[in-house]
Amino acid sequence: MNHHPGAWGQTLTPHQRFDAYSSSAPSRYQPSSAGSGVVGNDHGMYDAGNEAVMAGGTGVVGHTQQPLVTGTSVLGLVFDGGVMLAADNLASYGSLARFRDIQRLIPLESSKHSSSCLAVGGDMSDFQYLQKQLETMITNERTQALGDDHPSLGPRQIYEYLSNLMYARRSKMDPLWNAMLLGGVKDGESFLGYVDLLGTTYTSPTLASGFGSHMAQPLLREAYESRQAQGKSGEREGELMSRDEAVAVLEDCMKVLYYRDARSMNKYQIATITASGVDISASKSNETEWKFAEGLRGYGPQKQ
Amino acid sequence: MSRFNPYEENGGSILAIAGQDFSVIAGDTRQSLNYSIQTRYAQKVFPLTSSAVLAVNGFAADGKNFVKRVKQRLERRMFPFYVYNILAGIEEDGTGAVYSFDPVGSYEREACRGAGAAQSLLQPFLDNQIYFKNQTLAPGAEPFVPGRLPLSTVLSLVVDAFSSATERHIEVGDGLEMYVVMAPGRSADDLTAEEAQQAKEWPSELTVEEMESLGDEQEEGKAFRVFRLSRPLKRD
Amino acid sequence: MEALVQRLAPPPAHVDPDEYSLGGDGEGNLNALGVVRGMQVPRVPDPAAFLSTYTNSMSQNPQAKIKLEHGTTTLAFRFRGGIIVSVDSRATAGSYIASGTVKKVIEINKYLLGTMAGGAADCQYWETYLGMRCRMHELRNKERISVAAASKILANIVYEYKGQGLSMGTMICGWDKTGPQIFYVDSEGTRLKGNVFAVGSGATFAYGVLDQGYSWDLSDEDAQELGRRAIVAAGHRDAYSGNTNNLFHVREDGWEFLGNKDISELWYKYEQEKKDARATAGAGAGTGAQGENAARPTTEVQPVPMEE
Repeated sequence: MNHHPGAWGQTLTPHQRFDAYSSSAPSRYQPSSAGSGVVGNDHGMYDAGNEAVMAGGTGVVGHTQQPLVTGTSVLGLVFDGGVMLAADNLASYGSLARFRDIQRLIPLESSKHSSSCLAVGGDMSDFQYLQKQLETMITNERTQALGDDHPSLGPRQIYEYLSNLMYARRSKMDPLWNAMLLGGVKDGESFLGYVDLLGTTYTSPTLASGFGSHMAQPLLREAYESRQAQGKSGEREGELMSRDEAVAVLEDCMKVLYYRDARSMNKYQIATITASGVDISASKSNETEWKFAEGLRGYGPQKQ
Repeated sequence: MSRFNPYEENGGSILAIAGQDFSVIAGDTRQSLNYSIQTRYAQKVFPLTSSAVLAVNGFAADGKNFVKRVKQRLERRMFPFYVYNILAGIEEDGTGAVYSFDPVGSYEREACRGAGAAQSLLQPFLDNQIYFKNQTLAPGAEPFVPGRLPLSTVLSLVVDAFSSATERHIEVGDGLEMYVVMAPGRSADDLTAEEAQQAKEWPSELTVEEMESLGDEQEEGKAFRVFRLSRPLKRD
Repeated sequence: MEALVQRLAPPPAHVDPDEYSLGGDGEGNLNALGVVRGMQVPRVPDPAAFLSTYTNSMSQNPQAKIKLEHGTTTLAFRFRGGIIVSVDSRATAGSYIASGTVKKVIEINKYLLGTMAGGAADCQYWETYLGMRCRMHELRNKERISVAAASKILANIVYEYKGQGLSMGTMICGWDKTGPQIFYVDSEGTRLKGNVFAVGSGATFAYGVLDQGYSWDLSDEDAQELGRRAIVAAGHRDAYSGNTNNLFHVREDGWEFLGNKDISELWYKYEQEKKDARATAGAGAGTGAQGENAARPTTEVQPVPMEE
C-alpha cells in the first residue's frame, strides 16, 4: 500500500493495487472485484453475534493492520451526580498533530430513564465506523421500544454490545483499533466501563486509557479514595466528589497528561453525564507553567 | 511489522478445594496488565448451576466470553480461549468435587487446585496442607487422609493461601471472593452460626451471604446451598 | 502459497462417512447424530503457525503464553499373557509440574485402552469420541470392533486435521478375535502395528529397560514388573516424567487395573533390592566362592553404583 496521504482515495489499476508484500489483506469477500475500484469489507453488514466461523467457510485472510490517525488517552470519573469523561481534541497522524478540532466524546442516547456517552481513543476511522454502528443499533432499539414492552437501552446494554463487537472483531483477527470508556446513568445509578481492541473489559469508579492509565489513573484514584475516606469518617457528607471537584480533578489530569504525553493537546472537552442528560463542554485549555522545564533534560534546548 | 496479538495476560489467581460434602472455590478480584491494575474488582468466579461454580483465569476477555459460552458448550481447539478453568461443586454421589482444565479442555478431578499467575505459590502450599505432601506422621498418629478437612480449616487455608500470594505476587490482591457449595442436607452451621464465626480459626473481615439457587427447582431439604464469601486483600 | 492452499482446501470438519448430516444441533461440537462438526479456526493464513506462536502445541516455541500440558512416558507391550500398559502421571507446562495425578490411560471401553502422550486435551477428546464410535460399531454390527478398525478410525480422524496443530501420540490396546493387539497412532497420521511401543519424552529410557527384559514368553507377573520398572526408569531419568505409575493388564476378558504406585518410592525400593542382592552375593562370595573371586583378573573394573 502507498502510505502517502496524497494517494488516499485514488482509484488504482489492478496492477497498482497488487502488492506482494502487503501487510493488509485484499478483500476477503470480493476476490473478483478487480477493476471496480471498490474496497471490499464487511462493515456494512457486520453482525457482532455471528463471528464464529468454521474452517474453510469464507476463506482465510491475513488482516494485520495498524492505527493511522489516532486519538490519545481518555479519562473517566464517577461523581455524585453521575459520570464525567474527558478527551482532548487532537487526532494525530503519527507524530504529526494532524487534526486539531476533533470531538472524541460522543453523546449516545438520553431519555428520561438513562443517558450514555462514549469517549474514544485509538484509530479515528475505526471510531467513526463504530459510531455509525452504535447509532444504527440505538435507533433500531429506540424504534422497537416505541411499540410493546421492549426493554429500554441503558449504558450497561450499550457497553455489552460494544464489548461483544470489539471481542468479535479481535476474534476475527481484524480488530477495531480503539480503547474506549463508556459512561452513563440509568435510574440514578452511575456506570463507567472500559473496552479495548482485544475485547478486554473492566469497570471501576475511575478509569483511564493508554498513557492516562499510567499518569492520570493514580491521580483520579487518589482523589476518589480520599473523598471516600472523608465521607466514611464523617468529615464530609457523602462519599463522592461534587461536580466542581470532579471537573477540577479532570482538569488537573489533562494538564499533567499535556505536560508529558507527546500525542496530547492543550484543548479538550469534558462530558458530564447525569440523569438529566449528557452535557459536553466547549473546548477548553489549562494554564501551563513551563519554567520547571528549563533545567530538565528532555525539554527544550540542551546545553550538553 | 509485528502481527496483531489477540491475547493478553490479566494476572490474578484462582483456587479450589474439595471437602467430603462441600467444596470451596475462590479467586482474587484484581485485574491487571503488566504493571497496571486495571480494576480492583473483576469477577473471576461464576456460579453456573445450582451445584457447580466455575473459576476462570488468564485473558480476561476470553474468560468472560468463555463463561458466556459454557452454557452453549462450544468447543475450541485450533483458536483456544486463553483461559485456565477450575470447576467446583458437588458430584452426584454428594461428595465435594474439583475439576481442573487446561486451555484446550483436558481435565482431571482433584482434591485441590490452584491456577493463574500465582499457581506456583498456591499449589505447593495446597499440596502440603491438603494432600499432606512431605509431611511426616508423628509416631502412633492417625494416617493422613486427603479430602476430609473440616470447612473451617479449608476456609482459613484459602484465606492464608491468597494473603500469602498477595504478599509475594504483584498481580494478586485487592479482594478475595469465595463460593462454598454444600451437599443437600448438610448443615451450614459451621459457616453461618454465630459460634463458628467467633471461633479462633475464623478468618478476619469475612462476610458470608447465601446465594439464591440457580437452575432447576429444588426440593426443600434436598437443595444444594451456595454461599458467597468475600474479604479484602492488600491493595498495594 | 499456504494461504492459497488453505482457501482451496476442503473444510476439515470431520464427517463420519456412514452418517448423513441432518444439520440439526447436537451437544456442543457434535451435530444431531453425535458426529464432530468441525473446529473453530482463527482467520489467519496459516492456523498451525498461529497455534504454534501462542501455544507450545508443537513444542517449537517455549516462550508461548498458552502452555498446554506435555511431557510423558507411556508404554505398552504384547506378550503371551496379553498386553501390559504402563504409564506415568506427570503433566508439565514448561518447567512447572502442572499435575502429578494425570490419568494417562484412557478407558475407551471394557476391552480397549488408549494411552495419552502429547496434548492431554486432544487425547482425551478424540479417544472419548473414539469410544462413541466403537459403541456405534457394536450396535450396528452386533459384535465388538477390532483393535485394527478402532485405531484406524482414530488415525483417519487425526489425519483430516493434519497440519492444524493437533498433538497426540497414543497406543490403542485391546483384545479382539485375533488376540491381543497394539496399534500406535499419532497426530502426524502414522498408524503402526507392533509388539512393543514406548511413547513420550521418556520413551528412550523405557525402551532401554523393555528391550533388555522383554520376551514373548514372559509370565504375567514378570511382564507386569517389567512394565513398572520401565516407567520407573523413565520417571527417574526424564525430568518431564514422574510422580506415579499406573499399570494395566489386558486379557481376553478385558482390561484390569493393577494399581497406582509412587515412582520415587518404587525407585528407592528397587535400589534397596539391588543393594540387598549385592550384600547377599558379597556375603556368599566371602564364605563359599573364594575360588571364583581369585580367578577374576585384578585389572577388571568393578561396577560402581552411581547413586546411593
